[in-house]
Amino acid sequence: MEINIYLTDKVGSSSVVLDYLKEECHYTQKYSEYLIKNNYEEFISTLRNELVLVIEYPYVDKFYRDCYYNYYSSKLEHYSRFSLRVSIFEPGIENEDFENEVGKAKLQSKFLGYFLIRPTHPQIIGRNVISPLAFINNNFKSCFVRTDVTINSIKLIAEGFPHSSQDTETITCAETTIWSCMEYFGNKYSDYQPIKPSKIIELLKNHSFERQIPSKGLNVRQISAALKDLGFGSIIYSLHVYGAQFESLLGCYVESGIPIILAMQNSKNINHAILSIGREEITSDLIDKCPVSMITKDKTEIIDLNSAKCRFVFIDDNHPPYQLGLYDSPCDYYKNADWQACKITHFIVPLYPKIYLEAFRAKSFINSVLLDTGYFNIAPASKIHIRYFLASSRSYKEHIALNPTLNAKIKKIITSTSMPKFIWVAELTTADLVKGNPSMANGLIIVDATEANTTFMNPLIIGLYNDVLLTFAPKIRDFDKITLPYEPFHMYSGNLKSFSP
Amino acid sequence: MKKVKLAGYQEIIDNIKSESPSTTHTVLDTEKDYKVMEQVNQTMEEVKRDFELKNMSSQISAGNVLLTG
Repeated sequence: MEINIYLTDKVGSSSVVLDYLKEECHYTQKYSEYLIKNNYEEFISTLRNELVLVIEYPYVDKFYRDCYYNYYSSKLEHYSRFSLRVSIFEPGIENEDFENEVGKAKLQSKFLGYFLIRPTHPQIIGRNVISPLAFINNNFKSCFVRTDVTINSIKLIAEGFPHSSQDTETITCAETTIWSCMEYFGNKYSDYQPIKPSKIIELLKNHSFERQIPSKGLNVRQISAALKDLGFGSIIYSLHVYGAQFESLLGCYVESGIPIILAMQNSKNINHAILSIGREEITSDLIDKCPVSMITKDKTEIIDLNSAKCRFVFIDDNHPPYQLGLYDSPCDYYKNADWQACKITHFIVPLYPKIYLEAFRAKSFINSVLLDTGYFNIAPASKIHIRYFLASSRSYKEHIALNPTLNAKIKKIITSTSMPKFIWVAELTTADLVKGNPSMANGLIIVDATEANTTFMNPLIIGLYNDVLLTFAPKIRDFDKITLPYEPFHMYSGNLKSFSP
Repeated sequence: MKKVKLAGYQEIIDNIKSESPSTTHTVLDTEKDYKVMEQVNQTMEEVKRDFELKNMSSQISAGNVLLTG
């Protein structure tokens, strides 16, 4: 069997995909044209026009093959086993680049990911990993993963967030969000494994009371149960229960660089699941509009930067990756008014299983240490802006070690303090400092994410504010309060990657 | 090459304490400190109870609505 390989652009790619739909999938000319216009061209319209595409088919896709052998092959209608793959490059690549080492290096530097076309009409867009740089709109920060891929016999690395459209039969939005989540974690961390759709069905056998295929979707608890079985310490948060704190908790986990599964509903029986993987830059205007989350008896105001009204970055299986939507109107990018009316009702966080202290309690603990103890000499009627997030202690310590303006003694104390794999961090700042370029902080509270016992300030590792350093003395299990002047220091930006050039 | 132990946490803290003893204070040495801790303990005990209730209610409120997309 011959592999057809084409080097083309966006316009030229439509005729190649049309040939695949006719020859390999046996669709009629009219129906193939309909799919090209309504699915393929709509998908690629979000990509930059000048990009070069390398198209290969027939292609064996592990994801689609799993659906094919577990479902499509048992139908009367003919479904091809083969997919088509479109690889995306910056302009300037040539056929000869696939034939030597210099060319390979050039290909890698210009490679922007790939997407698959599968014979599951009408939802023909298969799995994909595409760099935000390939899209017209990429002014945001998000989680990303690197995956290995072989294009025209050359091994390259794709960078982006895994996405696929749902086929509505073997996978609906609920299954694709689980798959996407595992594809991200499995390729990024050795603790997890990427999974195929049949594995999700197998995992949920004991949580389902009817047949699972054709899929009718999953409920929030089933999604959480599947994530738990896949090795996460998953937690469900509900808008109805958390009320005003729901949005800031969501913002806190997004700031932590954790992909979160959002459940959305409206009154017209639309129930949808998507992933939230990042956010837009928080502008000065958004900082000014950040609501006061707490006022103390002495009129000190806490402004929670996790509540900034910036648009979140979504992975939605009904649309190309990296859609942007506000918390209050997350589905604004849909054309249908019913869909636009959807609201986020729940979110599920796939937490690392040894993070025992979750966001609600961690944030409350940080606020209590800051405001209830009186150790930080906070003047009445102060305004404190706080950004809360989870970080790996390795990455955060490196940030501290390389921070150009932080006091050297404080740096050494923080970097030589023993910490768990994950820590909660609260960066304290002012409106002026956070609006700066780079954003600066004038305080810091580091909390042990593995310590759920909050008595006697057990989880506190470091507290730094108003020239006061509160630090845990390991030998005597006690805290030292030290007066130590310091300058504002750079805020952490390691959880989400900015792709804008 | 001669081995050199880099200054760590304890050494730095000890240096600060010896350089300017008045700037340091060991928490939990005084009655006042214990009162502060009890305040934090009480706040966090209430937060814990609130969270447990909220967490249970979140699971219940998730219900059986199927997310079909």
